[in-house]
Amino acid sequence: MGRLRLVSEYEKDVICENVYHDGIVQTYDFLISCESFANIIGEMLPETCYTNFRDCIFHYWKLYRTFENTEIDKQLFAVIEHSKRAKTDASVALMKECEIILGELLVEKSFSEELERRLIKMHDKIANVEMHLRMSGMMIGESSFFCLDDEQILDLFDEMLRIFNEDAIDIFKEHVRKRKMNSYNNN
Amino acid sequence: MARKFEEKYSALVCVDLPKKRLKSVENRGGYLFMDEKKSDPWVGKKPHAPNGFVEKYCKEH
Repeated sequence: MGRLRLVSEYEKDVICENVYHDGIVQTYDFLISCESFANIIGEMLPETCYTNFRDCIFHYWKLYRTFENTEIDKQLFAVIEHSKRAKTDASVALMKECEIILGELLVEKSFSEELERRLIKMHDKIANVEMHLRMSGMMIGESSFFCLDDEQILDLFDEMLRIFNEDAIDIFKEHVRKRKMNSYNNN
Repeated sequence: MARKFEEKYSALVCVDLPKKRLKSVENRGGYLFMDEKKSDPWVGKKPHAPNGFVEKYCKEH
């Protein structure tokens, strides 16, 4: 049995402050950004994003109330784990949807050669990132396995919207509307 | 800071659309290379990367 060790109040404050920023605030910002993107493509984030974020806050609350070393470690990893899950769930679900939208558009509509090339490139990029994200989820606790941070994932969404915003606003809107009405009628 | 895509790309926003909640990929038995066809016997059972892919990938990284 290891000996219990209590951390000082100062040490605890520093830990809590860092975890609050890295685990809670960053996840919150990321999920809000994803929600904003999801609204444009007419979707809602999976429930697991919210339940994981709730668990993240719960473990932070437990972390805040304890002063015991091992317990702090446990809660710390729990916060990080849940925040990672919430973010991965949101980005993978959205990327999957983007892939479908881009794939359908490329099959159904005709674009200029330049725009088509950009859309194909975008589609492949998103598909690759999605595969890597899911692959990195299988490598337990190894975040360095796939080095793409939150901002880079949001940049990817931004890039996709920029392409449509520059060259194909009407086609994009019409397609999103058609998809939504079809799925609504089918349900 | 959270990004506000809706403000930045307001031209792309379709209003009054029925929204659908996306499913988590993990909850769909989602493993890598998930094949969503029902005929695939591996769906939701275990990861099934092509032979040798994982070893090759792990070596490269």
